[in-house]
Amino acid sequence: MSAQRGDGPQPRRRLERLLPLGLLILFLLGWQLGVAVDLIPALFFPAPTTIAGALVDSCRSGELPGHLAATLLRVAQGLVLGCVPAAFLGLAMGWSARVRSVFDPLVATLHPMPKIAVLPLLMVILGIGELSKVVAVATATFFPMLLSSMAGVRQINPQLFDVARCYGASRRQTLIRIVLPASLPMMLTGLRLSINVSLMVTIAVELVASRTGLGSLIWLGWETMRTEILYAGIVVIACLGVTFSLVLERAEKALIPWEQER
Amino acid sequence: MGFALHGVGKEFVTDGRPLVALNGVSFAVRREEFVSIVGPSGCGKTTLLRIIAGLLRPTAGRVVFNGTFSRGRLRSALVFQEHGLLPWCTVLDNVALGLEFLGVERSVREARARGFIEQVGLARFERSYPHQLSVGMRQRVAIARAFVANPEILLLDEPFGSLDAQTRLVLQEEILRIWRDHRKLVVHVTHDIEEAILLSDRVLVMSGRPGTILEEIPIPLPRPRDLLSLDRPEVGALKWRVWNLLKAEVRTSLGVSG
Repeated sequence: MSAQRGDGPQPRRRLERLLPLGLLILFLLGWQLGVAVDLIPALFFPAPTTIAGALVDSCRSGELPGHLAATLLRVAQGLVLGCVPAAFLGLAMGWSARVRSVFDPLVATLHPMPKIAVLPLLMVILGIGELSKVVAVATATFFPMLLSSMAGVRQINPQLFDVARCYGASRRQTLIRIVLPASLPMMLTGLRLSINVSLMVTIAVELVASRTGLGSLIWLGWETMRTEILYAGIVVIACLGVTFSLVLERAEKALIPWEQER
Repeated sequence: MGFALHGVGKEFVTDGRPLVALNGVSFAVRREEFVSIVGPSGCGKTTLLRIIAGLLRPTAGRVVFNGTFSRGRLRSALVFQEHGLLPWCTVLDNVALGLEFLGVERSVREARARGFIEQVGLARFERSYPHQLSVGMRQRVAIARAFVANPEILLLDEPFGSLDAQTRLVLQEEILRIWRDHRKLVVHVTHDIEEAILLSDRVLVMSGRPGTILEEIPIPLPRPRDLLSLDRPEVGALKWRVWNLLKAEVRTSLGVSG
């Protein structure tokens, strides 16, 4: 937009990029100063340097890396366990009206339920170990992926199916050449949603039912009233979210070369 | 191999009301013949092609294919109005698609596809994706794909409909050239009378909806043809004859009375 105006697009764009960073620095400085002059209560809002110190200490002691690893493992396990079957079922539901009519009522019933609500039930059935936690995460990642891959198949231009039929493609060939690549962008969107949900539910599960993971670290911060630990946990989780998002963006560019220049 | 349509009809039901798209369509096409179908828009030309392609079932009549069927060869291939290329496949993969589905080995199908890509002048774009090409280039890729698949019957559904006038002329000549070297039965749907005359051995004129064949007009222009063939003295009379048949139909389909 700004490039169309005559007043130098280059500096303007650089300014736009630097502005959020500048605002963040300004915000942190104000915060730090506010705590220093006792304008802001340090118990509720510990100074940024205190939070950074807690982060560094926790890293040195190996506590934070351990919690981070536990969380990441659960996020990954939940994703694999939930998204892989969801992708298959979603593709099948998108492709075949019959499969869709069988599973649609089930999905409509189960999807709106808050997945964390099934954790106690899962703990009764699967025990209080890792399995019940990972399954709870998996059930949450299942639905975004399912709905996205189903929508991915259903938005395929019907002409492409005609092309496949007309050139004598088998069902397998149609799947590989038409259905999978055509729904890939939507499936990646599904993965993006599932990763977010996975992180969210993992943290929630760890808050209530775990001694390891970033969620439990935050809970520990609450129990011991060490708010800087609480903040440290939140900062790490926020960084995780951003990292996932950046990695996926890269993956999308690499996996969907035919859509790059849109 | 040729085929014949016997009283083919097609009825669609939209919003609970029946709509007769085609009614009593009968004609026969011989092997290696180039036939064009012209008719007012909405007369069911595309529906007819889709029935011949086997993508739709007629609700009346039947399509009979005669002659020997070669195994491992497509009976028909359709070139779509909107090219129908796969956005995620490069030009090379798109052109080789038909052979891939037939199970032809990669090196063989790519060699054959390259030959045709060169013939339509797109050798430099072999690795490009469809969205990187102009509309005219995409349609060339679609035509190359159909010829590479080497079907018994080639069906062209207004392949030049979305092109500008100059690109159209170039592609018409290209089709003539490719067809001269790779003779096959072609059924070509168009609303361009000159194009139909230039390309075909026979022009079938269709009525407005419900579509039926009004008349078959043989085109006795000598082959090989090029754009100059349209300057021959007999072309004027042929154009006039087709237009006289179509005029009333087009007026009706536009809702003009008289």
